Amino acid sequence: MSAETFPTGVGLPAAREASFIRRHAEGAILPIGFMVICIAGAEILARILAVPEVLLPPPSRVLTALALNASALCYHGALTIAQVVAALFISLSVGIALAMVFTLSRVISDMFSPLFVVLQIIPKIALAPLFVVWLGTGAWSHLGFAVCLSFFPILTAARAGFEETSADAARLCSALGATSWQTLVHVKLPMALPQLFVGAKVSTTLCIIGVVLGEFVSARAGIGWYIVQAAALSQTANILAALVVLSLFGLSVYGAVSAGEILVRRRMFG
Amino acid sequence: MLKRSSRAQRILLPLANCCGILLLWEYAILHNWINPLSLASPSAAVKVAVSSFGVLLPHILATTSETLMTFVLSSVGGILLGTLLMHWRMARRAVYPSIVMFQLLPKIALAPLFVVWFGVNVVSRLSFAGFISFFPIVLATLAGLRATDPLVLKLCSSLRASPAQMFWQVRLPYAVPLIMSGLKVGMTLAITGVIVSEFVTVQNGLGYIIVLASSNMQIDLLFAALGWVSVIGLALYGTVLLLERLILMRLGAPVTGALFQPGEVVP
Repeated sequence: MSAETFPTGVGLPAAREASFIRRHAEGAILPIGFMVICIAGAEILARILAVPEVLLPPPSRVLTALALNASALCYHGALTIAQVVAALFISLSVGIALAMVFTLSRVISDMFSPLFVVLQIIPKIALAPLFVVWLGTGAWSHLGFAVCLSFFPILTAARAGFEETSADAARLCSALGATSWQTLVHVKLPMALPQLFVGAKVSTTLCIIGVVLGEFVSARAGIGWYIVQAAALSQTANILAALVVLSLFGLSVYGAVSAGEILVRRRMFG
Repeated sequence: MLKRSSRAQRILLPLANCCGILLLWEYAILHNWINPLSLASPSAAVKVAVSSFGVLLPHILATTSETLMTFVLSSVGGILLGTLLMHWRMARRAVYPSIVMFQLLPKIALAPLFVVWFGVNVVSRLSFAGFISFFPIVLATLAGLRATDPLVLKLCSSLRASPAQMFWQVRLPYAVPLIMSGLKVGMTLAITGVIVSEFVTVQNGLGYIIVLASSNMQIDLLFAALGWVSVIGLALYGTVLLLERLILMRLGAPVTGALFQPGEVVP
């Protein structure tokens, strides 16, 4: 603030640039340094104290496990990833469709939205075994459970987005003789896109949790199954390697959704 | 634009709808439209929930007490760490991005690891549930404490308020709404964590009953246990809501009291 009010720093672009770099470097160095210190600390601790590998495998050992089991991890990871992406698309369509119905009809919205809110407070994770009873032990039960966990954020986001549409635009539409369906599809839905992306980001994490938990409860393949198997054999390094794969994948899906958000925002708002 | 519906409509319609769904459900099973092996009728579930109450009680108590212990531990720890991070700028800049990134990871997948670390016991369940519910409380506390109006802080420092006074009388009261919403998320995550680790440790608690009933195809017991889980979840969430109201009333703050905010969605 002061640099702008007083002309002291104006004539020194080089100095300002240096401080800019330093500020950003500090912002990046501290978090990265913290992570490096944590990993190095785990490595040193595991080696010096000779902690049994079951309890705390040194990070280098996790890397070795990652390299050794690369093909198995790729196979199980690909299965899980396909299910997560499918679940995300299903819950996007379910969430948006429900939000459209709720927006078009006040009565239906009044009937169902309190139920959904209550369902949100109940620990839905307890339903995982029920989906096994309903849909068997295959991919369908994981998909169903993941959608059940993750459609709600999209529903709320879409409703918020529809309600945010400017009243002027809605009035213009009705003055031009548009039906409420036309207004919804051509005006409100595009305007709700930024909100939808916010919901989709929350949903992504929930989809991963849903699929992996479904695989914990019942599966014959997938990362969740791999983790449970490794835990049963007390192969902690393998569990951690599977978690690394899962985390990398989770972050990349999240990154993809965020990239889509940035693209849409750019196209909509310039 | 649809007009706002009346208050009666907003209360009566969901209730009527709920009763309608339950009746339809009961009727469908009575007439074998749905296979009774895959869906228990509400009346059967209630019957089992009441008749096997004696058997279920220890498990209900186990789940409830473990959830409460987790919640107390992680909320005290979370608020303390959040406060510490607010005051210690360097640590905040080092740790904050890691915590935020950590929130994106599917931490539930770590449940079996806690069994390897701590064994099949209460400690493993408490630490896993605490691990799940701790970080949102830290983030909410930090966000709340940093959300104080800067003008108010400036006024206080020009009135020569001590840092302690500023913390207790300005920052903390301002932070209460955000901290409480963090605690609501924390409570839901605490019960989620407890149930997931009961799934994994298969020792006691309602999560254990659910897994057991599903593998024995005792669908009515499964629904009875789900009913109890829902009752516990709603009761604990309601307690936090009540606490929020009490604290806000004590502070003389306006009770905005939305039951649910879109940002706090949890599994």
